[in-house]
Amino acid sequence: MDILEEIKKILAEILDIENHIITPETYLIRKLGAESIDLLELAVAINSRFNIDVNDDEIFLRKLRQYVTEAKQQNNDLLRYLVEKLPFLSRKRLENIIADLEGGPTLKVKDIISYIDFQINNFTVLSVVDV
Amino acid sequence: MNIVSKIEINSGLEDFVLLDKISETGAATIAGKKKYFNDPVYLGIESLAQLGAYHVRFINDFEIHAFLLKINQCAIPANHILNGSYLLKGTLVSQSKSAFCYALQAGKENKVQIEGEFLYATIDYDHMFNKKTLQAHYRRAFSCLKKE
Repeated sequence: MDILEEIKKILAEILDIENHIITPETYLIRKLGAESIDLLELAVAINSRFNIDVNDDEIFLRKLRQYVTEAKQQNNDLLRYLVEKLPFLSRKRLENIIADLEGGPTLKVKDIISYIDFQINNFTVLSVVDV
Repeated sequence: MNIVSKIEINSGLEDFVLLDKISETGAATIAGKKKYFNDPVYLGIESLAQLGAYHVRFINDFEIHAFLLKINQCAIPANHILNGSYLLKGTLVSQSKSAFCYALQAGKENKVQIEGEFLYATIDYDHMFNKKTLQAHYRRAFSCLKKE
């Protein structure tokens, strides 16, 4: 299954946009204007489409700024702290996110893809109907 | 400028709980009953919304506040009127940690009258949604609705 193509289809439907404008580098909130209700719809759609557990806080990097604050308060190395907290993102991506913090919400389509890929390859879950 | 300290809303209803009974609960399913008396269809939609919300609370052991976020693709009867006893059914079709999507339907005499997809969100109880008050209220209401 092509995760990007599936995500493009889901986002195009939820946000009522053309899917060709969506790329891995597209910012969900900053560029596409996704709001919290859209992200919740996206979360359940991802659960349904990929049959994975979805933690909204993790997949949408909701606690990113909290982690930044915690790392500073605890005198931790920020990159190392984020690697620990957001294991589905690569070090390179996390470096880019740290450099991009001033620009606003950093969430990109490729972060969603990384989360799904990580969940598929690291965890097996039961469908809600199998519980 | 007048400051309104209290707003009273009169819905015309005797009770806000628009379910007569919750007859079945499972990990991903819930069913209930409601009798209508030439009522407008929006009360049926509200009944389904309440049924789904109770299931969200039930599977989360009433530890979070649940609320309806959105209704997708809701089909309603042509005459927009509900009359008689209806069987309400809900199936949890997908979920994330804080969002829950249900296929809900209301049927009468084995014919589906209302059918839609309802999306719920959850948040932790806080100063606006008081845990002590709301958790006890919903537990009590759920327990009453489950009784024979």
